[in-house]
This record gives sequence, C-alpha cells and structure tokens, in this order.
Amino acid sequence: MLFEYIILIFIWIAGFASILIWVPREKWRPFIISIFMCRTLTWINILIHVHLDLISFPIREFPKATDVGFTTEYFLFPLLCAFYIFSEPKGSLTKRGTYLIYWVSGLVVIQFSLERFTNLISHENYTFYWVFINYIVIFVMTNYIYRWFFKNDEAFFLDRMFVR
Amino acid sequence: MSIEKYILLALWAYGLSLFFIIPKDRIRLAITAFLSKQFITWPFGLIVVEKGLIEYPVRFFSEVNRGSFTFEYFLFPMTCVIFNVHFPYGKSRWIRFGYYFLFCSILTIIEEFFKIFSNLIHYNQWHWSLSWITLFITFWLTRMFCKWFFMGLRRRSQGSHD
Repeated sequence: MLFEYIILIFIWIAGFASILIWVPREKWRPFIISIFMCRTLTWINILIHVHLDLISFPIREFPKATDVGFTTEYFLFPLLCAFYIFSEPKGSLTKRGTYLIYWVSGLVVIQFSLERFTNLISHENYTFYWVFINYIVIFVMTNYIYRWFFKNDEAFFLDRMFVR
Repeated sequence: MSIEKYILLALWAYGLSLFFIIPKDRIRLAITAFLSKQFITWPFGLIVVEKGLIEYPVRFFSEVNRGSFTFEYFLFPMTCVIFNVHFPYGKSRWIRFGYYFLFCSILTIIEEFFKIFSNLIHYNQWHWSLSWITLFITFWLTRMFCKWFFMGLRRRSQGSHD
C-alpha cells in the first residue's frame, strides 16, 4: 500500500481517536455542528483553489470523481477548526487572536508537511502566507457562525419543538 | 453558455428563493438540516461518480470536479431544509410516511425529467428506483440527526454546550 494511503488512514483514525479522547460526550453535538460548518466553507474554498490551479492533489481518494483531496478538506481541517473553537480562551481580542494564529500555524505546518513529504498535496502557485490567511478567514468565519448559532439560548429551544 | 448552464443558474436562484419560506423561528433547525445533508452528499456524490454509476455532463467546476456541485452542495441540502422545517411532527405515522413519499417521489420525477430533457445528468448504471430509495434513506438520516441534535442539547444554565 502506498505511503500516502497509510497517512490518510492514520488521519482518520487519529481524528476519531482525538474526538473520543478530548471531547466529552455531552459536547459532541455542538462539536459536530462546528465541524459541519467549517466543512461547508472548506468545500467551496478548495474547489475554487483547485479550479484556479493554486493547489493540486496528485494522490487522492476519488481520482476519477474529483481533483480535490477529500480527507483533509472534509475531515482534518474542519476537525482542527472545531478543536480551535472549543478550546478558545475567553478574554481580550489579543489573547484570542494569538490563539487563532497558534492553531492556524499548526494547520499550515500540517499542510506543508503533507506538501513536502508526501504526494497528497502539491502547491502550484501558492505560498505559505496565503494558506495562512485563507484558513484564518475560514476559522474566523466558522467561529462567528458558531457563536451566532448558539447565542440565543431561548430561541434555540423554539427550534426544538419542531423535531419531535 | 449552453442552455444547461442557464438551467443550473436558475436552479441556484430557485434554491436561494427557498430561503424565504423558512420560518424565522426554525432557522437553526434549517442550518442543522443543511449541514447534515451536506455531510452525506459530498462523499456519496463522489462515490457514485467514482464508480461510474451516474454522470453529470454539464456542471460547474467541470475541469476539477466530475460530481455535481450544484446538486450536492446546495440543492439537495436546501430541499432537505424545506423537508425538515415543514415536517409534520406529531402527526400520525401515515401522514409522516406520506410526507417522505411525496418528497422522494417529486424529487425523483424532477431528476427523471432532467435526465430525459437535458444534459445535466446521465445514468450509466443507475435506476430511478435507486434514486428514490437513496433519497428516502438520506432524508431519514438527516431527520434522525436533527432529532438527535436538538433533543439532546441542554440549556447553557445546565452547563452543556460552550
């Protein structure tokens, strides 16, 4: 089996394991919804990137169906985003901004390791600061949507009447 | 631009117009339904194309994506939103089943219509009955997810989320 496939399987296993280890059971629901929110953004984001020839995925999960790598965009980066949102410290903007940069830097390191040491991602006309800015925007947007989603507790429980 | 591209644009416009029939008090339910449907459509849309079961000859992002971005990213999730926010909760089993039946049937008929009269979708090894069944299953799964999501949440005062 290709080294790259082992990496992908490792990402899935490690991802699920990290959820089981670090996310308490009663927080699974908001955690999953924040993964979903980020995933909606990464999906269209990566399609545009590949469309504009900025990034390519030489080895990917669905080579016939799409030129876009699936695991990182569907699972890994949204997962990182969810962990960022859940562990974000309360406090001043500087503190939260530093924390955001810290997490996105981690993402950039992962992306560049995949670029450098595997054939999963290849940057065509792309530099690390663009990856950085790109994911900062996505993380901030997800965080904002997530906070809005859970802001009004009472309104939230109105929705609940409609799912019985 | 081919006629199919215009149809796709019209479908986007139509999907956007569906926002207006989402009741304000159910906006979070709508978002949950939308996101959970996308969770299913991305991988499964790719799988059916990868296995060569369905083709989408005309599509957006056509050089990079052989799946149908419009249907998977927006239209199916949007339909699912409408399905969930107007679900006849608390009604009898037959009415609820009829609701499922109606949604799946109408969507299958629309798909069949596009298959025959346009170049948007082409079946290689697929059948409308499979469409009907997968629609039913995915609607059911998203409904189960919404139920699980909303019924299990506790108020902040009880110390659950955030």
